[in-house]
Amino acid sequence: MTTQLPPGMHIETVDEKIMTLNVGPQHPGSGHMRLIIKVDGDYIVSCDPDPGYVHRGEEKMAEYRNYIQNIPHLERPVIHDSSNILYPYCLGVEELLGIEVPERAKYIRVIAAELNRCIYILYWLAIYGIFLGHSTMFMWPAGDRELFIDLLEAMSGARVTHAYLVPGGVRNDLPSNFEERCLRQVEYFEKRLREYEAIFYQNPILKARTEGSGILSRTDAIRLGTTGSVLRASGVDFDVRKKEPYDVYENLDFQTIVMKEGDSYARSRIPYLEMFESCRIIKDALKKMPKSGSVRTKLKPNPKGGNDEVYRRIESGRGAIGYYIVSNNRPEPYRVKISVGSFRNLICMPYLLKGEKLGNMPAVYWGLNYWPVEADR
Amino acid sequence: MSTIAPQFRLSRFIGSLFDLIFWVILIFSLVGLPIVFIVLFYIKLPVINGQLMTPYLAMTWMADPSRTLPIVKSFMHTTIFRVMAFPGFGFAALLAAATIFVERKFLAKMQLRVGPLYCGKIEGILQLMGDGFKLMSKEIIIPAKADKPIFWLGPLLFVGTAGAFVALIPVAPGWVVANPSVGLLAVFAVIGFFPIIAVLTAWAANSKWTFIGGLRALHQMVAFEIPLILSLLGVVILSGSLNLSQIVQSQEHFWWIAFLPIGAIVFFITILAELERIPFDLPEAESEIVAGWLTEFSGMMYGLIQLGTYKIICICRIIRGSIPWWLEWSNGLASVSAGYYHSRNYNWSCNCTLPWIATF
Repeated sequence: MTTQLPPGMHIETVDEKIMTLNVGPQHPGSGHMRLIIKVDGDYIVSCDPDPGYVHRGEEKMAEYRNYIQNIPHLERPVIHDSSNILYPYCLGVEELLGIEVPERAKYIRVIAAELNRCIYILYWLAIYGIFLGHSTMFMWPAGDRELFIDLLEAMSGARVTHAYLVPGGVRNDLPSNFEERCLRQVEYFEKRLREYEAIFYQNPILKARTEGSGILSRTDAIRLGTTGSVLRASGVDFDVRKKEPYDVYENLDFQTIVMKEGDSYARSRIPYLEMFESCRIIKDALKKMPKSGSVRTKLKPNPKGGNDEVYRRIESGRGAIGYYIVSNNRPEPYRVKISVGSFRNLICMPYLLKGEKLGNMPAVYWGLNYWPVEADR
Repeated sequence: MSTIAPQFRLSRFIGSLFDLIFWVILIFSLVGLPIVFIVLFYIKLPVINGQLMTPYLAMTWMADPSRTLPIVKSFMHTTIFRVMAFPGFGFAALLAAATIFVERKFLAKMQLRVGPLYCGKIEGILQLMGDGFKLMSKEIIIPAKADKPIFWLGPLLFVGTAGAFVALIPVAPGWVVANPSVGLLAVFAVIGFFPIIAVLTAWAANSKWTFIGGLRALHQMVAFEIPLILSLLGVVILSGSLNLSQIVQSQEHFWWIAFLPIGAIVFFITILAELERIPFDLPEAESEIVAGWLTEFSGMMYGLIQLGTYKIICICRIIRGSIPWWLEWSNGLASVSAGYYHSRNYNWSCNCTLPWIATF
């Protein structure tokens, strides 16, 4: 019966050897969530994640705004990855309203999404670095993010919450000489990335701490329904961009990164290697993009969807993000349901942390590529 | 409640200022002056350069440099000066501040940090002051269920014990506060205090995080003490003495480090572990156990412990620098450069030794 109670509400049986630790929500290593961890000495006996501290009701809010007004608030759960969390919404609304997107806009969307993916991964890498006591890896990615933030600022006008993707294309065209500038910065960034390898991923201390900790087997990864880098680190070759290509991803040259180890090191390395692929995609898209043309299909004022429902998903920095949108002949959606990668990956935390040392907790936790605000929506 | 009280009146404010001045004058003339006269009556005034140093004379000497010099010189040979200023507490604190400054600057250069490089226009000299003022201006919060006397005592004990180290350091011939014949053993004895302080304060703070951190600190410090002692015993065998001054004298012509490279490396690693520096920062691992046994300390209490830690760093590098290996008597100040070498411990985890050496 006690398992039916919400986390933290159990009547605790006192054991002389077991100590309960509340990691979060006011803890430097927790984020906006709580992990109820029971330790026996230095070993974790059980872990009970308790998310929900930053629940903002995005799904309910979406039911009171029309399709265009929904854009700025739907990107709030992950402001570092705002283009990617808006991408499936735009795809779904386009399908609902029957809008055709111009070819140039599709390429610009892909570029914006990949730039944003790099921004997110760099931010995550900074946190991962500082949580493993590597303060250089905190400062470097946080500084190199500026490259992409500047590019997206030139594209959209905002530094963090871009709201650049809209149903029907993108909000505005690229600025002049954007291609040159983007190429130059991306090439510089690729050089920087190779330095990360030397200073962080080949570091013996990092390897000693993360290799072999929190191993998730291939079958478990599939059974628990994980997604994104967690799934690919366990040897499953699944990437929405490859398996269900959207917009122009099928024309672009990139590959899925898969590792077989399934430990925290592999989970932390896959996003890093994906940044190289993102750079490849950006360069390829800049080459193949039509040099001129419309970037946005004009919508009717206050467009209405039919009696219809749609589900679209894309690959974000943390895994697949899916939107299930139901419309009922009104300007507002009847229901918007968001499935996010962070929440799906959270479920494997109790399995991974059981029997680990307390010192491995940050490595396993942040290796899951978890973003608490997104998980709570 | 930082707003001005609603019934604020300038006249009343000025009146209160006058009130204050009145009370200061009253208390000084009724209490302060008699005390001064009583003290002057009982104390035997020193005779310097054939003149009886009355307070009035001392004041005139302050203004006259040619007369001040003998006072300063005579003061420099007192024990108080050695304990308080050089090579005692003040000097060690200065060295600690210099270590923090240098370490933060190198870190800033490596990690693209702005503050320590540019703060204060000239090479970031104001950063240290800013940090200090920040720590001092912060509120000191004592947990409600803490064992308050021991909790208060913790940081003071830590800094005090770190300062006790300084007494044993021979800076130059004759410049040593205490010169016991078993100086090296005394150093080990002082090192043995730190785990006790850590466990005491961790227990007194009455928190789970400090408890775990304190136990980790205890285990780590005690475990690494043995290799630390063993790594220095080679020097004792070679020089045939436990007295630190004699150890230094014995390597006037030749440094023992040439014979004991393994000992030197072991010493370096164990000192990192003793001081809980990266990569041995298990007791303070901030992403798991907040700040280990320092979790409940706030404001200047935390600052004092940091000062103590850096003080031990300085002293350890002097022990390493001027006593067992490396440097001689006269190179006491050159041990600062050994400190540069030491502050690299932070970046040991960064695999980046070569560019580092290139920076200086």
